Amino acid sequence: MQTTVQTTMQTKVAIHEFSLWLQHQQVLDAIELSIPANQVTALIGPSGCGKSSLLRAMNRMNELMLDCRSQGQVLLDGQNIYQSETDVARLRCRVGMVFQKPNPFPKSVYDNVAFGLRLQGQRSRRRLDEQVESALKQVGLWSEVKNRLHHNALTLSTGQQQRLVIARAIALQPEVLLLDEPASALDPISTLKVEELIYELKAAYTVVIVTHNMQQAARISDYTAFLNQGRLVEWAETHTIFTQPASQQTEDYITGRFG
Amino acid sequence: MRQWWQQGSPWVWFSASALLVCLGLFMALLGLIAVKGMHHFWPAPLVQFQLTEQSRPQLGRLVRSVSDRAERKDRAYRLVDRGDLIVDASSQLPGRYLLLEAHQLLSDRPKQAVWVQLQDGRTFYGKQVGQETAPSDAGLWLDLGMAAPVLISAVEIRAYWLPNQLSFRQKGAVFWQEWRYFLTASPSQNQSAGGIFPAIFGTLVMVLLMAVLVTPFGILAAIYLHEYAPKNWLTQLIRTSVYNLAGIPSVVMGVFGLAFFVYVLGGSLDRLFYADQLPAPTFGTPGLFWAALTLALLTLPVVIVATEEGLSRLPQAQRLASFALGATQAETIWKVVAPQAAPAMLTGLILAIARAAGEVAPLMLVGVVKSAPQLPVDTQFPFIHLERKFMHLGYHLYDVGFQSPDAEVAMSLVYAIGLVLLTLILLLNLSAFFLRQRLRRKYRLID
Repeated sequence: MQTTVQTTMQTKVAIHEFSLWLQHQQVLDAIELSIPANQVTALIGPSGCGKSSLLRAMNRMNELMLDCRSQGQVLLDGQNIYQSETDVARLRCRVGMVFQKPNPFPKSVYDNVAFGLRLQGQRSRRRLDEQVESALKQVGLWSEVKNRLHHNALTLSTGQQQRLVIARAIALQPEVLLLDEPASALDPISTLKVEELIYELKAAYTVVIVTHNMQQAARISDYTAFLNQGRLVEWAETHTIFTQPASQQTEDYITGRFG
Repeated sequence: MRQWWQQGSPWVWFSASALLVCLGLFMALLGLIAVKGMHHFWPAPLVQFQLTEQSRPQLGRLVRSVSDRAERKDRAYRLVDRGDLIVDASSQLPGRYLLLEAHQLLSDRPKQAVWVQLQDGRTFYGKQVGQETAPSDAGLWLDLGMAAPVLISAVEIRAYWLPNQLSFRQKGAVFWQEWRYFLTASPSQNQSAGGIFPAIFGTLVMVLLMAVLVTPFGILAAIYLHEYAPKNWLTQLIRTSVYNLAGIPSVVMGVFGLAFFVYVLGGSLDRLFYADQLPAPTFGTPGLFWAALTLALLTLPVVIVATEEGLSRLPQAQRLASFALGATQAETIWKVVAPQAAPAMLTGLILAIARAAGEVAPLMLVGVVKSAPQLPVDTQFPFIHLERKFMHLGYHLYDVGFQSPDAEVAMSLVYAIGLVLLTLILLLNLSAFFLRQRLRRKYRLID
């Protein structure tokens, strides 16, 4: 089953024998995982299983934590991003990230979306306008904010803020989008909107999402990886994981018997 | 009662009354300084008195009543200011201020009594006996209690009025006129008269220069400590040391400023750039720049502590968001962290200004003088003269109050200077406060 998956799909990110220690505690243990291009991959598992750390390993955000050490490889289009010559800032432009709680900057809606573009040296007002509009349209926020582009982003509702930070990430046109429980702080209607958005985004981006919500993983992802205690327990098409999991642990977890 | 005790109500009352006591003391301080300071400019009535039954009646300004506790309670005295005396054989008693017993005061408050101040700051109280209108030597004929009336020439007179005739509103006008004069004129008569403009100006320039020096250093140091420095025992040691710097007595800072800034730095500057003027020092002597630098050093910990607190209040999520968008650490600091910590930096600056504007002890060593002939800023190139000595309100207050030979002149003047110093610090703080509020509104974080 898995072999057919890997041959038909192009692999965007390949994680190879990857282990991670934070403050001398091992959080990831020899992870072996392929993220297929233009698909949504969900990472599930109980709290503290290392799924967020695995997500952050893909854009080297773990390094911002105290005392972090890693081993193994993460290949983005075949290039190991843990090579010493990797430009980390450039990497993070290619691999965008959205956090659990919406964290817009206390700037205007426009300036939030343009933040990354300006860092890239985009100075042309006209180009910025276009790119900001296009990013906001992709997340379905344009019609809601087009009349208050220059209002403080913190005046938006939480759901709008979360879509705004997604727009901020995709304005840079990343290749991979990492979402760390993007809907856990939102109300059901906002959650639904964000889920629809994620479903649409996979046409253009490779999406990796960490979620605690089994239904959400089942609804929006094409592939699901189940982690437990820093190890990858199972990885397969979402449909397979939720109907015929290979491992007893996976079945226990998704049926709610632990975690 | 038991319930009242158990619910913790006593603590509410206890803490509220502590606050009330603090506020009361604070209001008392402000009220005393404000009332006494204002009183200095309110035209006081002129009274007539007689030293002995035989002597001529003289005029004086009624300062206040004095009751001598040691003697019988009913024996009240009046303190009367005779003004600056023209030395004359007939004025037997030296001294400007007299304590008079009730019987020495004449009940009459003559309408013709004149308060006149000359351009040089001398004040006379006398009875107007005539006016000279001839254009060559126009002036006032005053009876100063001496054998013959004295002609005071109009060109010499700065201001005069007849306080016993003034209505309340006219007194108000005099009050404001005198305030304006006080704030804009230079001191005269050995600081006891005239205004305090050079001291206000010197304080302002010194504080602003200090702010310009301390802000970049303090902010950059705090950013390094909080954002770049590795979190280990050495950083913690440095941080603790910086915090403790705030406790160094300011006069010790003054000694350091004199020894290091003035003699070492200033002396080297002189040898390098002003060698032709030696041995007369240019920068190797106390001056404005060294005073500002010393105060900057004194207030540096305040700025660092406040900035660091602002930096640590900023949610980590803001930094992560910036990094995740491909920002380097420098970009994150300049575009995300620093703007949002700006209100905290301004808080540090406010505290630094408040501390610096009130500091006197170190300044006495590194540049403040009793009376400076020139302002530190003028129209001559290079406009700001960093090497000049300057006057300072705090030092001026000390000088007038405790170094002046005439304590009575000083008393009300000290309150007036204190009031100006308080107002100046308040204005400096308020402007920084409003700037901070504006920034806060801009970077307000919901939730």
